[in-house]
Amino acid sequence: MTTWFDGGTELQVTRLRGIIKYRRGAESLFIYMFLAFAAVAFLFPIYWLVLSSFKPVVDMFRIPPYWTVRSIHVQNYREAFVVRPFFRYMLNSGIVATCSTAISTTVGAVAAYGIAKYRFRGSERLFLAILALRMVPVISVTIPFFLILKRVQLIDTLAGLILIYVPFQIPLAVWLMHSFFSEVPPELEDAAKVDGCSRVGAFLRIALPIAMPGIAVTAIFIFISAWNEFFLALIMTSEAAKTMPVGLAGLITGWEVIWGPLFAGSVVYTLPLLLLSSFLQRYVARGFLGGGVKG
Amino acid sequence: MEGELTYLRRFRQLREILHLRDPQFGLLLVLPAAILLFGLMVVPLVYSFSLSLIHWDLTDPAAGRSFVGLSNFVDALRNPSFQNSVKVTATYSVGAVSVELIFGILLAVLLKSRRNRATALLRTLLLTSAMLTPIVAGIIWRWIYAGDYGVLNYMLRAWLGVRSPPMWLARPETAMIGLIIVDAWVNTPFCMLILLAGMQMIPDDLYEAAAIDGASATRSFFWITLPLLRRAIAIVLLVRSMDAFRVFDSIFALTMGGPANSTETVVFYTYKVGFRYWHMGLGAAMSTIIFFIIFILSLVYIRVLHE
Repeated sequence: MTTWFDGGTELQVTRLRGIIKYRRGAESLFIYMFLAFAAVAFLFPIYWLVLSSFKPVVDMFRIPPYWTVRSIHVQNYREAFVVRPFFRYMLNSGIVATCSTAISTTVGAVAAYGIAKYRFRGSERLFLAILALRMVPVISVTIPFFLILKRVQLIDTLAGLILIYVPFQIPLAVWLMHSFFSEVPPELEDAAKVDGCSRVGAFLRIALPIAMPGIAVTAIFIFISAWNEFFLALIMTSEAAKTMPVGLAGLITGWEVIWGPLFAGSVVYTLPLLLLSSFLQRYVARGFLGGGVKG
Repeated sequence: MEGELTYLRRFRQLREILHLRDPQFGLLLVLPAAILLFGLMVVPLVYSFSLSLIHWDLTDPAAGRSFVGLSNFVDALRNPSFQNSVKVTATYSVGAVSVELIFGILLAVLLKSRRNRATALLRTLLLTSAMLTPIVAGIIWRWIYAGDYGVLNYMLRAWLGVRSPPMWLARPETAMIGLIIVDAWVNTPFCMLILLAGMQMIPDDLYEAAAIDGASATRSFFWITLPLLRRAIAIVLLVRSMDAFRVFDSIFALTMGGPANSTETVVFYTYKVGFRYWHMGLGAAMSTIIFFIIFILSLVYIRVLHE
């Protein structure tokens, strides 16, 4: 806003500025209050979960409820992880997620590098075909998976679960890592090759280290999706290879819900997620909007 | 010593013979992924299509398998439960996506208007619910919705004076609303993020120019922001619709399709047919129908993305 150095008008301008400042202040107040209220509304259920996990059963059902922690009861945690086999379920989840992520990230990285750096006939089509497979809904291949796993006796095994997670992870891996490898300047690799580096060497020593942050992000993404997977695990496992999500859902029976260990298990299972996803936020929007946004 | 040198020479000779040119090397790199995907995704998919043409009931081994052509598809489409599930899914999708889009835009507008550390923190906080395992989100809300001892109804009764708050998951009407709220709680942050990114791509000059011309905030929102957000909104609509179509975890945790099948979505019903009633052929047919619906939506998504 311009300032007029005319005696009378200056006063008016200042007053006008005051009003605008006031309006902007009131506007800011509304914005922050609304956002804060929204944040509280979105966070409250999580707080409620954590809080309830530390309540003894009597306190859980009390009306009016306790809004803060009265005392830390670890009964629920003990029941879930010592008495019930939730430690094993979590271990299963961890193994399946880690192994499937390792496989798909490796295979996907190599494939993404191949497509990004080496143009061959049909590479574009192959790339699109791989991406298209991302769209296959899980339910459409679940019945075949079940029948196939049953035939090779991999039902209720960790290996079987890993095997069927991988085809869902590879397209995502290739899609994400393709853009990271594309950003590796070809001059660097060419220079290395001139100096006698092999093609494999160029990949391992030049492209890979440069793209490593992107690969790490991809791996985290894939790990999280495997960690959260429920449907396939529900159908393909029984007790031996049961993963945590299935185990948690199992506490909801037709007759009753065993809330204590349910809360405790949920809290513990969520902790690694919150840790990992704090790395990821920046990259989510970029991927979905087609890479047009920076940071 | 001698033996090792021979191996080295043989290895070099082999490499000479196989001297791959660049394009072939690239193909070799893609091969493992392509093979895995073909064997573990394409083959099962084709197997699923072939299963949908068979009558196969695992609970009735005596009947065995028999080719029935497209009658599974006809049975599925004529099946009142399946039709109900399509209706349920459509209601769920429309409801959830509308809520998420509206609140997503609202939150994105608010976050964009003030760029500072406070809003950055608020944005991070708002994204927390999107980080959870879907089944855990369902569990959390099942506890919140619990009729007598749920904290939601306590708040309604004690703070808002509602005399008889609904038994959320026990009545058909409110169960759907309950599920939509859960979906919105989990996914609005994601929509907010996409829309915020879309808004940040709009140059500030446009707003300044409009302000100089005397446009109010509301006008510039409807005439600048929304039109330029078309692509982001379309992406949000498509992605969320596809996801809402595939929803399963929340249904399993909250209602198991009830009460009275009022929340039985297409995926949930197909799950029941395939893995509770063990009708392999019919289940495969239903899952194929779902595949085609998602396939069509994805084609639209790709078209929009590459505009």
